[in-house]
Amino acid sequence: MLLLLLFAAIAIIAAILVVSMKNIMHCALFLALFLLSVAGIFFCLDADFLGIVQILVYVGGIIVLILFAVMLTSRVSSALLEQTNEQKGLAITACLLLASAITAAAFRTPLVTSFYTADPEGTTRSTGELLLTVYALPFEIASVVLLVALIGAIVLAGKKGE
Amino acid sequence: MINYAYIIPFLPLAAFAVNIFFGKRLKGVSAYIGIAAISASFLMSLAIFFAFLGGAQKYEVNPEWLNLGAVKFGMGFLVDGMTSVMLIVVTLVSLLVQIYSIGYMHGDPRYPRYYAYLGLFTFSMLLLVIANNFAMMFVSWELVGVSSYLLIGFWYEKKSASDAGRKAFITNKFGDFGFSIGIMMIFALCGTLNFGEVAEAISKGTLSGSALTLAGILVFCGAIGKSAQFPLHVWLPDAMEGPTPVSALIHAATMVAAGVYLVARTYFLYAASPAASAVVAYTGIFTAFFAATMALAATDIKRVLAFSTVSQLGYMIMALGVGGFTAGMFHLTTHAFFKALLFLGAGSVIHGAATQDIRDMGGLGKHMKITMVTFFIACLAIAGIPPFSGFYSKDEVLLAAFNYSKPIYIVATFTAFMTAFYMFRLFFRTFTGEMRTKLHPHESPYSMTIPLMVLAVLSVVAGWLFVQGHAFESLVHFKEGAAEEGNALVVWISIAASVIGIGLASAIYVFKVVPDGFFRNKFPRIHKVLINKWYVDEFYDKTVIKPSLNLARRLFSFDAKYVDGAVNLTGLVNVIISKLHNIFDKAAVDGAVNGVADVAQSGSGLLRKVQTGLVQNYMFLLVAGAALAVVVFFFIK
Amino acid sequence: MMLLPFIGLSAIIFAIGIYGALTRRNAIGILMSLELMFNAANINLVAANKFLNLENSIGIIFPIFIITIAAAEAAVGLAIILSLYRQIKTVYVEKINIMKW
Repeated sequence: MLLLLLFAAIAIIAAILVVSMKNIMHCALFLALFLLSVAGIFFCLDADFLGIVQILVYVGGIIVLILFAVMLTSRVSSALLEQTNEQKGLAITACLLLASAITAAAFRTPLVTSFYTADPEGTTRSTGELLLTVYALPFEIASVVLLVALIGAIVLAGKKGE
Repeated sequence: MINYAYIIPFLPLAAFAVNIFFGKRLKGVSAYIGIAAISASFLMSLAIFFAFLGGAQKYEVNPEWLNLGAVKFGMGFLVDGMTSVMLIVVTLVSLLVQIYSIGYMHGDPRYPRYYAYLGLFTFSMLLLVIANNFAMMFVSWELVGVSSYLLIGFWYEKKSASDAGRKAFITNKFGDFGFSIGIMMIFALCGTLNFGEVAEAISKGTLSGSALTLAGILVFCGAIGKSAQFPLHVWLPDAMEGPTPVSALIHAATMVAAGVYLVARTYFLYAASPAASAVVAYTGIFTAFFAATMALAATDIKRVLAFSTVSQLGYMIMALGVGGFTAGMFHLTTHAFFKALLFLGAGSVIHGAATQDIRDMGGLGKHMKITMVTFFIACLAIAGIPPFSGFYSKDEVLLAAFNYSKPIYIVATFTAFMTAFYMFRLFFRTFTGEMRTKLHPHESPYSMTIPLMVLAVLSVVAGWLFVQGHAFESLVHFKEGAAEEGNALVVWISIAASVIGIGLASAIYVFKVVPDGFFRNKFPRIHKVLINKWYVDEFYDKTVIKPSLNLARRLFSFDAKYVDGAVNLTGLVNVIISKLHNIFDKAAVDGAVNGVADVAQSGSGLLRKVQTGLVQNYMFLLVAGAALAVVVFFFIK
Repeated sequence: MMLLPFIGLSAIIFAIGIYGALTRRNAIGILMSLELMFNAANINLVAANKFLNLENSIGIIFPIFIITIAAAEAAVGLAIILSLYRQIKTVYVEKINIMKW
């Protein structure tokens, strides 16, 4: 329980830092922290498999990709430049409005919920079973999507400028 | 075989995919890929067509595509006699055009891309034909529009071509706007988009009265755009900037016929609403007449054909409006053959003579025998001389008009007369007489002349074959019933009108009984109106009003110098036209147009500021809108 | 009522993500903000799975697909940014407006 609160707090702080830091490299590192804390939240919610996927794919894969991209594109000392555009104030207002609206909407929706109980078995087994039975086709399609994205990325990034 | 009809559209799509991705490596081979795919489609269509001739039943597959609780969308296909005829028309013309293009587009730097676009177009057109619901129809409708845009602007280095592409696309959007509202309305009232189910809802009375009429007119808006009916006809003449085979395929035989097909496919709307079908009928007949008058004065070979297409489309639309369901579709079929032939013949002329202006041509028949003979056959067909195909279909159209309303019939017959006249004016000026300028014409290669010959044969026999034992009637009919009785009077009057038209044309251009330019000198103002296409373009587009008027003035003085180009029949309708001219010129052009254009300009100036080009600004508006929507939904309600 | 704090959490993270996407000038920063939004949705789903007494673990299956799509998106997005950078030597989105007339 306490762990959950801790992870949530870290996640929010890291998320805020991701969007407000000036140095894009630092942003990427805080994004890694954020993703790790989200993985922590997943573990606390008995989604062990998902937590591991999160760490493997996000922290292990996407963050590395992003770091590469940052290093390849920031020859200019971008840390000195203003990193946000002029619609900052408006954007803050709209986002606060949206967040409060979503929360309020959730409060107004009647939901039957249970209290927190740790599940000793975890959900990995049921997840695996579902993935290979009911959701086998979407699973395979997802792999095709990944393959296509892979090829697309190679084509896009590999082409030499004209 | 019929169960596999859905494969037909996807073969050209496969050709498109291969050509667009591997076109650079394939080069010349791309043509054969396209032709192979479309040949397979054509053979399948042929099999389906004969299955229906043999009495096959309508076949519909409607699998569920999207399930939103109470609302379910199907995404299937529907094949019946009408579909089989359209499949034949589309695949055959597309096949011939692709063969023809081997010669015509030879040496073009974007040759593979051209075949890719043709494949895309054929795919979307075939999808449109087999669609079984409004949603799928609309999607393929837009796809057809996109491929037409790509093909009109194919030579985009030429400014006029890219402009024409844009004009076609934007003009069509006006019609599509109405079409989409009509679809939403039908969906809101019937809860389904499937053609059969909507028809059922209408027969049950779920959709009736003024709502039905409005829905019918809104759906017809789509047809007005695609089939270039007045007042959205302006894009079609400009669309002639595209490669000529494209004009033959898209802007003569198939895509522009999509509007007619739409009205036919959704005929249950019009059959149930006399008011909506009256709108269809009067739009059609007005367009038929209006476009024919413009064809009298045009001097560009492709533009004459374009106006003639608009006019003939008006004919088909009118036929549907007056209740001649079979007649309209019949005319669509025969027209597809002979108009494609005319365009391909014009392409051959342009290819051989390297000019499009008929005032520069003349005497080409000596050098281009095959082209001349096939062109002549097509002219006879469109003029409606028996036993050519145009005669049978035009006759049925006129018969339907005769039974519906006499004024419409009279105007339709008069239009038939004008059609015969301007087609033969074109023919005589191009192929007979003395050569006016120094050209070095030569006959086109076989890849171009063979499609011409195939189409010529079809133009001769298609009409006759289809009336044998009411074959066409049995394939394409709205409801079961006896065929309309023939009317000998109608037949003879229509033949007489055509013969008089041809006679007048030959009197002027062959026998010189009436001096060339006689009517133009006598009625210069009318000529000016016609050559300026009734000022409709100016009406729409203030930004070009000045250049256009300058051009008009220059054209006018140009005409005054040259004893050439003619407006001949307008003397007969002098009174009507001068009145219309007055209304257009004084009240509309000078007054309302400027006002409308000013409003549009200042309005778009304001709107332009919103278009910053920064995605984040757009996204901000999106988020703000979403936030507002949530707030309104949860706190104000 | 254990679900609501999680919905609140995901709403906050989602809003932060949107804020980032709206205001970041660096295209990579925008991509990172998108990742924040994806994660907010995932938290929501996992929490709902935990507290709504669902029969099977649908709330865990779905995030797996979302992560898949996010990975694909990141790969393609970064590739686009790289090739843009090669072409016009910038990753600042307000400079990338060559499509504007």
